[in-house]
Amino acid sequence: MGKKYVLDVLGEVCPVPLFKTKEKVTRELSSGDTLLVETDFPRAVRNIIDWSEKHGHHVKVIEIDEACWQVQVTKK
Amino acid sequence: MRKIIVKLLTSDWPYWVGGVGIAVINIGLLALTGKPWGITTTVTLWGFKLANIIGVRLENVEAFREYLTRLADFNFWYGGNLLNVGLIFGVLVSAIISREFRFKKITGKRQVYLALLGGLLMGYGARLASGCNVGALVGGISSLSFHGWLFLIFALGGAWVGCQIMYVLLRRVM
Repeated sequence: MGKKYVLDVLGEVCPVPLFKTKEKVTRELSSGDTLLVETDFPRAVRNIIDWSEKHGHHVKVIEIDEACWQVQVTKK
Repeated sequence: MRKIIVKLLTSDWPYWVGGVGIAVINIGLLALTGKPWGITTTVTLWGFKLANIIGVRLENVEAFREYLTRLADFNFWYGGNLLNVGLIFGVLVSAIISREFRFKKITGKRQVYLALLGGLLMGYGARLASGCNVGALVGGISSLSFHGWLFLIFALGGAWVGCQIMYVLLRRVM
């Protein structure tokens, strides 16, 4: 099991959530680690899913509150 | 049937559906009213009214002279006002239906200042260009005016430069 990191981008709008996710995943995570991105910006959920799938990272979304999601990106 | 409607309302539509939708509605609007869709000219009239409430008479400012005839016609039922109120109301309803509505947390003073500064620049730019992405870009290009294409070139360039600046700043605060 890899390590878990949390990225709180609540209240931030595009492109900040995706940008910070990219930076964290590519620079700080090792293969198998998971980044838990918490966002309330629907568009960002889409962006992060698209980017993760494009780069082969495993991605899963759970709704943690009304209109608030945790996107779990596990690095390839 | 109910399932299909829920799916339609809550799923992500591709960009081209939105584009075609905007085109169809804009054509209808142009045919009915003789004017293409615009947002910021009416927002300027809102500015006049707000300024009047706090006792500032923008009517006397030379640069705002061109708005005086529109200002005389302005009331709730003014076309541009109905469009803007309808836009905000429509977005609100759409967000509630797709369960995306939420009062967002303000992340700090920096966000407040940046939002105010961004709004100011957007408003100033929209007046200099006589329109925003909607009035100058969508309205301009669809009415075969050259200024829409010029707007597109410079808006893309500006957005690119803005992104580069933002990425540098974001890397610094991370």
